[in-house]
Amino acid sequence: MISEVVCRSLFMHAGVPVLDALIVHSSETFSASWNDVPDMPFRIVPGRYFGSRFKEDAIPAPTPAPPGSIKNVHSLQAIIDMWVVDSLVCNIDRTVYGNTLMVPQGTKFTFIAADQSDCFCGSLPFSDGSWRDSMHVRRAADCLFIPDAIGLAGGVDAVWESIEKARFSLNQIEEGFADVPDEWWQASQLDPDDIQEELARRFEALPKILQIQQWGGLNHEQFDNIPIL
Amino acid sequence: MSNSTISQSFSYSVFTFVTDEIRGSSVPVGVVLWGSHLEQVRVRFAADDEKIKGLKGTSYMYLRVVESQIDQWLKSGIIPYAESKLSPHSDAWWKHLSSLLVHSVRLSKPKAIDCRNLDEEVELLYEAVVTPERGSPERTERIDRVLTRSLGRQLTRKLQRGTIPGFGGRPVPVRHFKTSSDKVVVIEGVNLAAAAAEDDTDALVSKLQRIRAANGNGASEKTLKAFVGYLSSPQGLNGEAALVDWIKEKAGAETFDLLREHQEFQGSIERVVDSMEDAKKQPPISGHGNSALDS
Repeated sequence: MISEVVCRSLFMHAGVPVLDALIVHSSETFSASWNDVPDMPFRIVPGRYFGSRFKEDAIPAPTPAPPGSIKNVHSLQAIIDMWVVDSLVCNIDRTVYGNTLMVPQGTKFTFIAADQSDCFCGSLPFSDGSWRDSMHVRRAADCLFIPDAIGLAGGVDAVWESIEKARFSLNQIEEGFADVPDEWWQASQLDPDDIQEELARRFEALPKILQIQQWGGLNHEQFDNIPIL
Repeated sequence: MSNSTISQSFSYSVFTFVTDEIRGSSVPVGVVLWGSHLEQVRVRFAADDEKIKGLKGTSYMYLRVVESQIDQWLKSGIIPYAESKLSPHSDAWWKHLSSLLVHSVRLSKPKAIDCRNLDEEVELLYEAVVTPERGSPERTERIDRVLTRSLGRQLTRKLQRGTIPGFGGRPVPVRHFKTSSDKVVVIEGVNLAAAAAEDDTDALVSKLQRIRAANGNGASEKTLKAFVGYLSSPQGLNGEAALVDWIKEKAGAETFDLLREHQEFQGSIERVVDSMEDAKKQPPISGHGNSALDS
């Protein structure tokens, strides 16, 4: 849940659309009522939880993206932004069904980062303390429409633009930390300073992690006015 | 074999598009039909150019997304979050899918249904459940195609197309007919699975009644035989039984389900047509007056 709150804040500050979220409290009574219903898919214990608001007009993005579907992407730069932040926070499952949602915008779709529970190399490493070592060696994240979006958005310049947004976002990380209830910090024994330190180190290595030089400068405009035979 | 003439048990589910989450209102937008014994699946979503009542233009974007995702899962054989390997020909696969589709497009729980021809019947099921609004030419073209196929090339060649005089001398267009000195056979068709089934049935009954009303007016009466072939949804989901009874009762027609009784349909017409041709070959025993139906 710390991963959800902190990383949702990072995505939001980088300009990546996220779901509305709340810290919700499940009371003794509510938990008991929930657990009494046999059809409920899981049991809950009383306490505070991270919850995102159901978005009526959203739909999970098809994974993998069907061939040719990049033409339905409203903003290629937003896709790259999501990929860069995912790579920064070591999200391991952005391409799993349901973790990227999409909403129509005109005749195209805008994409929403919908699930941040498996950042920091996944919930298990994040809870058992191995996340720091794992983040040192973790490659760039998988993301829908990458690399096509980078190629079509202009190559290396587009990636640099997203890195700058990630830098801005990282500078606001205190806001994300402040949203985490104290009891969660205590229960997890995680130190926000460690998270900040690790993300800062990861950010410095980001150009290398994203293999930024391989994208080159794709100047599509050089082909303007040249007739296609 | 999907073209079996024997009815087999299949399962189907209905895709709906949620138009108002709070009120819980939704519109059917597609169907899926599958059979574990045949290892076959047919998915039919509303196409972009099919008008569905209550469905906005932007909603079709969602249908395309879900359709392509399901297509990918069917091809790969892998569906996310399944605890064990599931076959797309099993109810379990589609039940699992209905638990994944929690946004705008939902899927109902599987229901059992008897089918014979998967390809034909998925269309009829779709017509009956989704009720797309179709123009008259499209409806006519569909039933014409199935009717001609059910009659067979040989029998179709023995029949005429055109008009028969109806009430008040006004010509009535019919799909197929054949006349002889003492008989007239009319063959018609109607899609009872379609949204316009009621209107089309009323038009058909009226048409046959006009022909009947003209029969014998000012001349000798001929034996009028009317055969109506119809398309119906599997298990009559569109309430076809009442319409079939109406055609029988008010138009005095013999009725046949073109998918389930096409052999009986063809055989019955063939017998009448052959007897008319045989009678033509025999020398006439007695003369007949001119009927309006001879023209």
